Amino acid sequence: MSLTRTFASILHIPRPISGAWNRAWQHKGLFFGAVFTIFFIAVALLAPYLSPYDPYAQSLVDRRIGPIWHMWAGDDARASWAHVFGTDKFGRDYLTRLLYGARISLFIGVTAAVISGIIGSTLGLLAGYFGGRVDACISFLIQFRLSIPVILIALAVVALFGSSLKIVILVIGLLVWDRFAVVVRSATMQIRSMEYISAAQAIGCSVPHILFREILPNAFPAIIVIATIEMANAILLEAALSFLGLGVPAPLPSWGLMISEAKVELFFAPWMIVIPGACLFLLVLAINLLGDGMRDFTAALRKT
Amino acid sequence: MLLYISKRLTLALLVLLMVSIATFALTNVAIDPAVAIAGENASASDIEAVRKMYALDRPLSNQYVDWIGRTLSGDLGASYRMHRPVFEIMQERIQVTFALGAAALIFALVISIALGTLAGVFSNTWVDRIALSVAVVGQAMPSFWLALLLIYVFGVHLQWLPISGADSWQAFILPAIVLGYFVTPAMMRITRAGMIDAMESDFIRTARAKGLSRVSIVFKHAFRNAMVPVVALTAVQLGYMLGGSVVIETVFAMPGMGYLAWESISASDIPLIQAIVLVMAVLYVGLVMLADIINCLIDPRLRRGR
Repeated sequence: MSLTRTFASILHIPRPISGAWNRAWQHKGLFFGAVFTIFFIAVALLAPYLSPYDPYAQSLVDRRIGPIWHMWAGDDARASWAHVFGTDKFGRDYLTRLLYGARISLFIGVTAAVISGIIGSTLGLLAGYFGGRVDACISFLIQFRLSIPVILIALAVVALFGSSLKIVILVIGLLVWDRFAVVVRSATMQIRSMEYISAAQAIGCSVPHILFREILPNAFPAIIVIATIEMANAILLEAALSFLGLGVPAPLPSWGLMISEAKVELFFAPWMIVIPGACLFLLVLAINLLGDGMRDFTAALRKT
Repeated sequence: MLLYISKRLTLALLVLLMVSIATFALTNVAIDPAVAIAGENASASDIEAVRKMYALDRPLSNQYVDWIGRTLSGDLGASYRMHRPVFEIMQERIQVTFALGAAALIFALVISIALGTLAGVFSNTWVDRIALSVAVVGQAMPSFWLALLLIYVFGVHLQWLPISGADSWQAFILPAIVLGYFVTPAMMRITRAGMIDAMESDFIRTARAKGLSRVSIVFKHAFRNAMVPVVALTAVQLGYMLGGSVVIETVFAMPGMGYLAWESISASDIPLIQAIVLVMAVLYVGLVMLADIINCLIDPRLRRGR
């Protein structure tokens, strides 16, 4: 990766650690990713204060109002600043639903990443620390997980058990732990041979203590990087499931669901697809850039 | 080597056994097949009759053994919804998916190898940055959204290409682009990394010292070595495309396996769901195994490791 390489070349000149924040600041991807991620988090948290409307309140008289640029073009007499992105076929304010949609995406991203992170990290720790048969079993589990097509299984499970936010989160969380397991396993293998682990073993620390107090904190930077990637993946997966009508159920303002609902109006109201999709794209892009940036950053710190 | 392949094959078979048990268990726990066959408005006695007729009143383990036996002998049962043998339906549908997969793979290979090679040869220049942004954008792009945008621009607005179905070769263009772009980032990154490694290696330095032309160095020497990891990754990416085809075929209403999967899942058509999950898992496991074996053939260091 070019950014890692530029970092490596910068780092040939010894610099004090305090320069680290400067470097993070100069890393454009990390900066962009952090700013946009914070922006989306702020939007999600402040949604009730940013919009006067209820995202579920339907209004028959306000159905299918055009967005603000229809007022400027003079196409739609009803378009006004009252509904910046217009309303949908139930008269719900589109911008409000978008704002609340950020909550759903972020909530699913975070919870799914936490669930898969706990499963994957635990498996990775056990496999890396004990090796031998434990490792063989867990490696088989990882192989098993890698051999099943995620979207298909997720679709089938959601269809079978009924669609709800809880099911979607559980399905995604239980399906995408493989990368955590692989990364934590190899990190644990490296850390296990370090002197401080031998020291901990020598003074008689218990296995859980060594695993969770000695090894886990040192594998944490790697876990955080994977967590951002999996968060982005979970958000995309939820959107795809909801788009196919087998994700979160109908009145919830999920961006994937909003695109799915607007699909039939592609010809008349393309913005109703373009805007939620752009939000989805920007959020996932921001989280990915944040993850990439943090990976470069921790790699650069380790080299100093 | 043979030992490795046989080990890998055993693993694949074990995985498939687990997938088949999981598929069977999940479908039978979540949906009562008797209710699904009899329909929503069926009375309790109708459901009981169906249960007797289809021998659904026996223990699940017996039913599983029966089912897997029939499946292995090629009898995949009949669709509840279409009242036709599952095997026949899948035979028709799988051709569309294979054609789409092939087209998407060609698109992905051309784009990722061209951009990846350029980015590797001219690393840290504007070419590299363009290639990197293509990858970064591709990773964040929701594929169904890209599909809808392309449909709007090329299908609705410009009216250049058909937006659904699989009746002409033109209908495959947009889906192939979307599905191909879906796997391009990973393939491009690995081409680029392989190219950079190759360009920095000793044999390239030797070739340079011999005074070979730049074109000959890049294409005859570096390129060949950079392609090694791409071959193995291609097999894995084909597997990913299989999953991606569920979304893409549904957006474009292409009558392939992916769309069939969505249709049958929406309609709780159990025999079809079971068969599709199994067939896709077999293809997927086969491709992942193929990738591992290719990797192992190429890189002798892996052979001893396992």
